[in-house]
Amino acid sequence: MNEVGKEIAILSLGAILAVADESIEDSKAREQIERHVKQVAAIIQGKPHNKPDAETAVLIEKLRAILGSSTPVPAAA
Amino acid sequence: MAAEEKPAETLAEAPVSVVDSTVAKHSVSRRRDTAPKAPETLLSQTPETLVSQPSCDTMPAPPVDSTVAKVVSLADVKRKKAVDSTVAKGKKRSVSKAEPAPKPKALKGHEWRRQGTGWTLLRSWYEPDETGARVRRREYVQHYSATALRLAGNIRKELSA
Repeated sequence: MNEVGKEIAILSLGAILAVADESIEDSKAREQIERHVKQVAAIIQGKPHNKPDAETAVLIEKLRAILGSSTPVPAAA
Repeated sequence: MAAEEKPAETLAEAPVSVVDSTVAKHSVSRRRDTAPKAPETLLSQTPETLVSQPSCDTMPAPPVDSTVAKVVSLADVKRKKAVDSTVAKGKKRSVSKAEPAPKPKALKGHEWRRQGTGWTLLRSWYEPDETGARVRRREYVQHYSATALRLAGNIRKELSA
């Protein structure tokens, strides 16, 4: 992924968080989404010290299946 | 007929009752603080007592802002009425306007266009037309709200820290 792609991905994650912030009333669910989003952002930015947890890794795999992506995902922490 | 029978004192107080009864309490209290009592007292007095009053040179000058106080009170009445009508219609009062987001980082081959408080991302490129001249083309990518841009900035800061 090039720099433009990474930037757009981060912006889109910000948009996801904004929707979660406005529409999800359950604070626990909102916090969970925030955690997943931050971990995905870490992968996009290529931060090796910020690997996804098992739950987020499963979510990423599902997303990859939907999007038809073939890029490898960092191993779960 | 009833108005003719009213005593001079009640007629003198007639301009005070112009204020709406819903806010009379508020505006009257303000008027008591600022407005002079001189016109009401002058109207309630008889010509004999007026003659016996000291001259204008010795009388204290009335406060200048008496008319201003009346105008302010009428403005308050109008504002309150407007607010009441909005509440009655079930409209939501806007508490504060959202701050417009600063322009996001420039991206290669893309442009940012302000839209409301957020920004819209457009992909732009050049291609030749029939005559061979370069024509700029733009394609909509995505609109990012001010909140989305702020949250994306927060993510970026947290990851870079």
